[in-house]
Amino acid sequence: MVASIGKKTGIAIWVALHAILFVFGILSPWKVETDLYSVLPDSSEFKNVSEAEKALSVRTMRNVSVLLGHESFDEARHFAETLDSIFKNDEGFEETRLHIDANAMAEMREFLFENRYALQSPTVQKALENKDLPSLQNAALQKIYGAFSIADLNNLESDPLLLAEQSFDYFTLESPLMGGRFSLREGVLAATDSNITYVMWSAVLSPKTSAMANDGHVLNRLYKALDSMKTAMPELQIAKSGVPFHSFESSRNAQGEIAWISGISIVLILVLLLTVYRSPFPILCTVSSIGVAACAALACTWTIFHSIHIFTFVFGTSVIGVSIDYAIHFFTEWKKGCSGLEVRRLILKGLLLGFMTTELSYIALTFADFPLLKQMAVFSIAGLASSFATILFLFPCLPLNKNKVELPTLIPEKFISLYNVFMTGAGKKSQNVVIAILLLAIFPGLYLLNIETDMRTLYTMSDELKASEVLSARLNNLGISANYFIVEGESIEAVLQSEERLVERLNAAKQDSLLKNYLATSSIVPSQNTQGKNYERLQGAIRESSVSMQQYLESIGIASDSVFQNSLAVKPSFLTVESNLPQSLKSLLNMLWIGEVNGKFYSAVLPLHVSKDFDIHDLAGNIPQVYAVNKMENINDTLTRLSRVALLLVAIAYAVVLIILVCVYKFKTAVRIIRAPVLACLFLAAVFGYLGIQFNFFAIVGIILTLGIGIDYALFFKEGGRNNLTTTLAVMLSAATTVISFGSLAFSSFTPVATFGLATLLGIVCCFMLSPLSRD
Amino acid sequence: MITGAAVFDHPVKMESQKELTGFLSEMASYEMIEGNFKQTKTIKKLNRDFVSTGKFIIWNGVGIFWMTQKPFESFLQVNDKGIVQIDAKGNKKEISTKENPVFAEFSKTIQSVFSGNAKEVEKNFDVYFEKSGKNMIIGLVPREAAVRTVIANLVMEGSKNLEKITITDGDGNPVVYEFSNHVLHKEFKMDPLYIYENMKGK
Repeated sequence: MVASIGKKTGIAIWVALHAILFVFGILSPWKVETDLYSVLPDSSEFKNVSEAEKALSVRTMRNVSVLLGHESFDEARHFAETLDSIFKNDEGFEETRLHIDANAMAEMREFLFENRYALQSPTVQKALENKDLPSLQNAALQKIYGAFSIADLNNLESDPLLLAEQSFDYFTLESPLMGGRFSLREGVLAATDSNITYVMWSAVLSPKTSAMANDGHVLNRLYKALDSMKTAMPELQIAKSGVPFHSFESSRNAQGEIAWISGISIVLILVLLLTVYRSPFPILCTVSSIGVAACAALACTWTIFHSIHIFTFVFGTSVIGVSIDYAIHFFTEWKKGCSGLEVRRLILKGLLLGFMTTELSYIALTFADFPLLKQMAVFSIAGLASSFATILFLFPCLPLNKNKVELPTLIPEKFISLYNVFMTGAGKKSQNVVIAILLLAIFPGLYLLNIETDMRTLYTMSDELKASEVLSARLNNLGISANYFIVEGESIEAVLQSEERLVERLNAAKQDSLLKNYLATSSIVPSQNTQGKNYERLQGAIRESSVSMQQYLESIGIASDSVFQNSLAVKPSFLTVESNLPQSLKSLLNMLWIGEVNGKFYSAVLPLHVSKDFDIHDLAGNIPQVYAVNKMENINDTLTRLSRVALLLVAIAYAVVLIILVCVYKFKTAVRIIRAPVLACLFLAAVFGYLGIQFNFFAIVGIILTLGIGIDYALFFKEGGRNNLTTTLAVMLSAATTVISFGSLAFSSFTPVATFGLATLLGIVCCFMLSPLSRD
Repeated sequence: MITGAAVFDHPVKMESQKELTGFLSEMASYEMIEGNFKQTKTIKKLNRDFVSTGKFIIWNGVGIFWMTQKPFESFLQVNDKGIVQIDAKGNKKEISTKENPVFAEFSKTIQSVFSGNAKEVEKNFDVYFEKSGKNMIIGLVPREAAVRTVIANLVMEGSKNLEKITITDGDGNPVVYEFSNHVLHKEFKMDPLYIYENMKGK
């Protein structure tokens, strides 16, 4: 039926299909997702918190810090000030931080005094809970009469128990954030390590700043500024820390590397195609068909999903691989001197079967319960459909020269003769022996295979960045763990109350040395319930111990308790997450309080310096809406699960393909056709097993690519005939272009790209070698 | 006669540096100094003085020990390892300098002032010095603006020994430490672990 479609009708169908896709694509919002959170599992538990986690990550992943070190503190500070002056007003940064406000302590004291009845240190809370007023009086006496106390006694009449001073100690001197080696020196934070004094400069990237490296990127400007400083002062030590540096460096390296790998690949492919076709026309048509297919795939994905994930682009390269193969088959046949419509008729069956089988694999992936996998599948389905339509409806209408051109057939001839040795007489037995040996060799490799995606093994940071991170961690000594808690609630109050239940457990865990400390919103802004209790307990304790309190007041020379009683009689206004806090507490709250996400409220609780026995799931257990999170583990588990599901679905798709092929051909032939890509995939998996390389998500993308493209080789050999030089040349060209373009990626130092490249290289080469055996 | 406040008109100069170093070296030359103190904390806003008395030990390389006896008993120990506070009821609070650089800095500064560690003093303070007869006055102003909001300045006075220290806070409230009955030890043998019991028992 397709073969009978005329040129005009074909063009009309092609234009209509693409016009619809492009109109929908243009009307849809264009958005590219780059974060890994889009691939989080769809379990109901994580559905609730993944958005909150994402919001938290987006915020924390924008922080960078640079340590500028020199033997002389003055030099280090000078360079830090220069850096700050360069970037203070840079739009790439939301804010930069160098100088510490000299009035920060006074601001903190004033805030804690104003909120002394609602916000109290855990020691004071515990004393009031136990109605232990004497211990509070005792602590105050020590501050009043003890030596070297820095307590502010100006408000002694209205705060005779020095509650504000107790809180001041808790929030400043005893704060977990004070555990690092940085201290205030001439208005900046400085720390000394191995006789080098480091001054800390930190900044927050603007939300608009991309994680991917480009020439105008603010981090590019920062690197240049730091390089100039290093040139001016070679002894200057520079340590960079923060996720944006890693994203920037890895994307910059990957971009650079992929650019030269792609450059070499493109040149090689062009030389190859020009050598074969001796005309740039087929190449221009092929490139155009790939371009249109990629645009159609994008338009379709945007229309359906309203965004596209960066991983989809990686997977979508299969569209390029298959599109180029279709075009090669078309133009190789055309060079024999056929008209466009004749070419279509000649290649239609092989092309159609190849197209259907590949599309079936992708359709199977749409049944996966992973939005990302669905997106990848839709992208590939649309791209391939566009490419297929271009070959069927547009290419036959091209102004093709009907003169027969001699194609280079020396290599295909040698290739065919080599296979004929195996396909005739005694060679047939050798063929079976080779396949049997291959199968036997595959099994141990498959046994050794480790199907797992661990993102940590996919990224190797540069020595410089690693040393910087180690130094930064040593000097900051904050001890933030990879495990943390996300607390959820229907209201702000519900979140804070759940946090307080968790904090009780964390305090007990602290006693058991399971962790040293933690950071929680409720430590800064307790729930309204706790603030109310704090106030009521203090009132109760004072009321019940009026005689003791009177004696205490006299002992510190306060004759009348009226000022104190009057202040205690007025119910204080309680703190909320929106209250005006001192800058240091505000920064901490910004880090911990996630806020409203999809109608619910969230916060993060960060355990610090956890021991190896710290069990985050145990601590979160049985507290409703408190979730233990390990972001890296979540992503790894998800990608591993995603990989397994993808493999399973492709296996099912291949079973369907086998049934279709059995209907078209005989069972034996169908098995022969499917044998090449399946054995190729088993072979590449076995090689990964033997080499001990993790069979990760990116290797599985390579498998899917091999299955999608590889079956076409077998089908073309089946349809064209093994001894058909044109078919052999076309398949060889297809395999060569795929091996050059994807296989070259195996040499990348960027692990995900190298894994994908290696898998594709092994799969395609093996598939190509086995494909001629599909013919009887 | 030079007063405490007037010393800040006299930054350390070449000629006074020698005398300052000599005075601080003299302080540092003793293994241990012990004596009595009287602490007077004046809060201008309340127009009130809080007076406490007790004993002190400044032990070179070991730490400083402050036993407040009246009106309420309390103990303070400051050394390189940390700060130990014990209240009248015997409740002990320890803060390790290893875990808290603020206390480490505080500990180092306090020790440097009392033990005459000139290098450490000059690192943290702008130093002023004046001599009047046998009497020497050292003025110290914290270099750190943020620290000056808590401690505006220190004035150390003495002739042979350190006799008086005045610490003025950011609001201008002075805390005066007056030392008496100095006993100087060129050599001293005692287990520092028992200092608290020892000072409490005296």
